[in-house]
Amino acid sequence: MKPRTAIFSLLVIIIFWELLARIVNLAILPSPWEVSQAFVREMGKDLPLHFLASFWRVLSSTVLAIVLAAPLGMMLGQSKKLDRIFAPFIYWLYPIPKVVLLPIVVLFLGIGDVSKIFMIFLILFFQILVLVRDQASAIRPELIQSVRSLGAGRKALFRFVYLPASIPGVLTALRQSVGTAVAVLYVAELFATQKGLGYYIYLKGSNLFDYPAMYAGVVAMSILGFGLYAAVDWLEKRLSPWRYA
Amino acid sequence: MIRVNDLYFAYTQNQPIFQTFDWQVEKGDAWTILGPSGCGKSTLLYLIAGLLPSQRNQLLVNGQPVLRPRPKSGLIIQDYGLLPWATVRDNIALGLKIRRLYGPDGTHAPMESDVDMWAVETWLERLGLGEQANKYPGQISGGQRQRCAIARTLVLNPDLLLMDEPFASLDAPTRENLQNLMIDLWQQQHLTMLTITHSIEEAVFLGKKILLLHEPPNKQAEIFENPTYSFENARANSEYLKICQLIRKKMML
Repeated sequence: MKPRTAIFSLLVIIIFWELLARIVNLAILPSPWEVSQAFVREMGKDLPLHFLASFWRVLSSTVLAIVLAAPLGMMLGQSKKLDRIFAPFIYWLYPIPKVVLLPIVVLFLGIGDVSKIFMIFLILFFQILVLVRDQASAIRPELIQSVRSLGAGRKALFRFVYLPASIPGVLTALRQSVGTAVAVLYVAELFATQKGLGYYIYLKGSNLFDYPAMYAGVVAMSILGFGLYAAVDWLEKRLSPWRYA
Repeated sequence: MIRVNDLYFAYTQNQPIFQTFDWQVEKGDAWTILGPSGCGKSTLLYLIAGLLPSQRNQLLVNGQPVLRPRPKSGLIIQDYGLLPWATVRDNIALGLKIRRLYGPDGTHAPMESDVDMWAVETWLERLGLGEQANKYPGQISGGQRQRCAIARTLVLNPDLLLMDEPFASLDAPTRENLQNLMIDLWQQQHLTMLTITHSIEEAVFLGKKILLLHEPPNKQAEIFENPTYSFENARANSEYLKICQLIRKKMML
């Protein structure tokens, strides 16, 4: 998308919001102007702290999911034998909406960062696993043979074939699941915690009735989601230019 | 250069592709291996390439049993085997990068090899790929892709070049163009060249000697000498056409 189109559509959204706020005329729907004032004010207080807490949870779970799921997906995609063993388990586990496991995860892993990171990890893990596996199984044996004939052993195959071949799968998986991850993060942060945007939004809205501040939290969460999406987009263009050529 | 002694090979038990099969290739020869689908021609090539396991001493290249791909053997396949995510230049450099990764260890790279990345530029120009250097395989034609694969192999200075139906998916003018190129390169690089094909015309054009394989099991090598090899304008030569006819008859038997 061109920057000009992006800015234009953002303006349309803000104008629509402004109109809606005027028509509704209730405290629970402040105008964009009020919210942006609140946002600036809250940025000087504890909003950045909550933002960073949420950002850290998403980032660490993403890295963890990539590091564990991508190599496993590669292995399953390349070994029919392994895939035959694991495919039935993935078949059962992949479609489960992971967010329903949240209470169980909290019971087992406690209310700290670990349970939240694990939740997002679960979602991303299966997504990446399945996409990388499918992409790995599409690598033609002829390609492997011909790279082997150039002298490649395991190490070189990993470096020059498997690693670059798994990148598109990882990025597609992230693109598809970053939104879900942030949504689940919100839900996860409603559970006994005092840090994170989910907690912040809940606190400002339901306990303190400071609606502009609550909206500032929503904006911060949107920025988080949008920022992650944009980062994946950027990485995709950087790391797989051949798909856009 | 290549000695095949009493070769036995089977994918499934009791259905051998090769049995008591003997064959020899001298250094600097240009051979084509011709036969119908399923006759074992690719199998033979992959055995020589070290990509299929052979029994000790049934197959020797330069006096050594082939247990894994040999650093001085190059392989070119029908669907090019290029990395889709690498540019033409990076694809040609792939073998050199692999050698740099391992160092001259004798298994992945020859002991005496030094990695000269400039050779990539030389081969890009030599095969007319200069303008394609920064494109991806998906952006160039089939003929250009195969030129890229040829450059990638020859930049490693092989002494043995193995080709598995290298031009089968190309249109006729491109195919003939590349066939001419291969004869030039064979002469200039002092290669021993083995080409698999199911096309009689290609076999007679690219093979100084022709090995004809039949329905398995192959027990004896049937060999033709080709006196028309590297004739000027061989395709229009009546001798060439006569040999094509002769082999066509043999294949029908």
